Amino acid sequence: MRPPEVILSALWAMRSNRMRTALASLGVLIGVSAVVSLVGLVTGIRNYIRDQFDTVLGARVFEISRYSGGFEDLDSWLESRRWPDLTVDQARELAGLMTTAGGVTWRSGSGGRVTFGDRTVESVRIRALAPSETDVAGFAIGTGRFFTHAEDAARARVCILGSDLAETLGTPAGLIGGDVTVQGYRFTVIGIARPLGSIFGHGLDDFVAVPWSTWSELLSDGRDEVEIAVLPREEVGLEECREEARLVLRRIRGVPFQAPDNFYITTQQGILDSMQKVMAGAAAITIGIAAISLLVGGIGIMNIMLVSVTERTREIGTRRAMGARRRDIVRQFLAEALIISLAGGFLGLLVGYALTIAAERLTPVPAAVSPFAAVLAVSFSAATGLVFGVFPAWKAAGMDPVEALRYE
Amino acid sequence: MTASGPVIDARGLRKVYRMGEVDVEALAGVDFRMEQGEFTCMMGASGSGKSTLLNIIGCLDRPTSGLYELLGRRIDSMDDSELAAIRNRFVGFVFQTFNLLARASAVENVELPLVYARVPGRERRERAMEGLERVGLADRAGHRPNQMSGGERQRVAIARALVTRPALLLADEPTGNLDSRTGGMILDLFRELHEEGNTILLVTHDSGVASSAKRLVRIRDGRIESDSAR
Repeated sequence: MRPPEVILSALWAMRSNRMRTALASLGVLIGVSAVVSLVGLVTGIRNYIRDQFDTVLGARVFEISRYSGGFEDLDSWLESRRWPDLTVDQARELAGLMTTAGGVTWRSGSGGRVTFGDRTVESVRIRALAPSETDVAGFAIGTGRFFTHAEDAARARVCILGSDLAETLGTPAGLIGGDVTVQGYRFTVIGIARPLGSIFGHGLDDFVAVPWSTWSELLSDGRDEVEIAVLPREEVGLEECREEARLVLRRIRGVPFQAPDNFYITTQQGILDSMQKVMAGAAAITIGIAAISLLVGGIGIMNIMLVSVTERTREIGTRRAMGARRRDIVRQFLAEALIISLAGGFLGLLVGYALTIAAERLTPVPAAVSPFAAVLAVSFSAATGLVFGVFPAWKAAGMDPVEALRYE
Repeated sequence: MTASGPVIDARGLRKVYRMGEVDVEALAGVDFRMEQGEFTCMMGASGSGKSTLLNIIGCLDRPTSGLYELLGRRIDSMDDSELAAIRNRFVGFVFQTFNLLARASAVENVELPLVYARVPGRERRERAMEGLERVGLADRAGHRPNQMSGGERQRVAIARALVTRPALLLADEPTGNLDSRTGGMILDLFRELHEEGNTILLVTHDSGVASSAKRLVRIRDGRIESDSAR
């Protein structure tokens, strides 16, 4: 038989058993749609993370902290609890010693209440920032200005408001130059930050930024712990700058030769990498689910094909008497299994895409239709049809034509 | 098709089935020849071995031992796909239960052997229609088996058996499932086909049918009991 005839004959056999064919392909349909929508979800979240990092963080700024930016095991977390604090003095020393850094700043923070006129906002993030000429603050100024070194040195009570907080409290025109109360202390508003947006649905614009020295005097809980942000000079590579920062900080903190670092340096790439690790785990789970559902779908197809082979024993005998070779019979039944599973795969792809789009439109979950999923769905369902169609086809072809013709 | 020589030339055919612990000898040494253009009837009780002989002659089965030549070709040593090709090209089968594909129309059923002969679609359809015309069913081409009477179904099956222009037409109790009037019409059709030059081997229970044949072979206990040609 020629290939087009194999396919026609398979379609023709399935036409007469529509209900059964539909049910047989249902397993593959569900499996493939699950895979497609999960792949869409994973892809969407991955894109979302990438976009968030692109917009929120300066790509070249890296951070030094006692806390890891990624996901560590319990032992290293416990170990990091015992490290000495990263102090503002160490940060100042680092800033003074580094030659490859275009800017070094340090920051800390707490939470508190902010009041302007008769409006009060609770649980505002208070960001304590060292003044800096370069943009290592983590936000840009929308209106007004940044604080100066002089203001920091003088512990001036000036502040910059995040855009959401500013909107809650009043209008930019009314706020700049005005006084807000932070934890009971009066601060003059000198600037309003440009909106940052949100990351993982969490708003980033409800903060008030104050000079680090002022914060240390008035608002800190007494601990001098800071986080250091370093921006490499323009002509210096990120890795070179990072390595210098590491070596200088080891010297400042008196880390013995060959002992491991007692601080973490987190680059944006590092954060992305550890996110990718989590996503790879999610992808592995997806593939596991896919394997199980396609196994179930495949068994369904095999079951139906075995029933079909038994029912059509006479037909097989007749075809053999008319000159069909064993391989013609194998092809016929394999084609049927393949078409059932491909039909399931194709419909599953449509359902999966529909689910992905629905998730993207109707829920805050980011999801993206991925062309990779289509390739995956088609190849998985084809493989399922072939693998689980082989045994029934082999059984059909192995029948003795004499016995098959006599079968009641 | 060879112009001369016998169509069937079988010598010392034995067929032994293993049924559990015992060997059952279905054919116990059969010599059988048929010339081109013969119309032979074969009779025998069930279990006599006539079906086994018919299956071997039709290349559906192989003898345990013995020599079988169909149109001068050694069949007994052929493999499965060679046998399939031989069946396709040289043998036409007509069964007692018609064995039409239930989901296919009459013309599609007649086309089936041509599909395996890799005849292109259009030529296939033309030849199948000619076949249906020959058995007087051109107007039923689009009907499915369940929309036709028993006699019509058997005529479709005959058209299917003839569509490859086989050297040998094998009919296994073709009237067994038909009433006597319809059965008579089918036998008349076989006689006409014989007159047109077809070589026909027809197995039957019906002594009335058998008596009309030119040659009658009786099988019993795996042997040829009598052969009117001898």
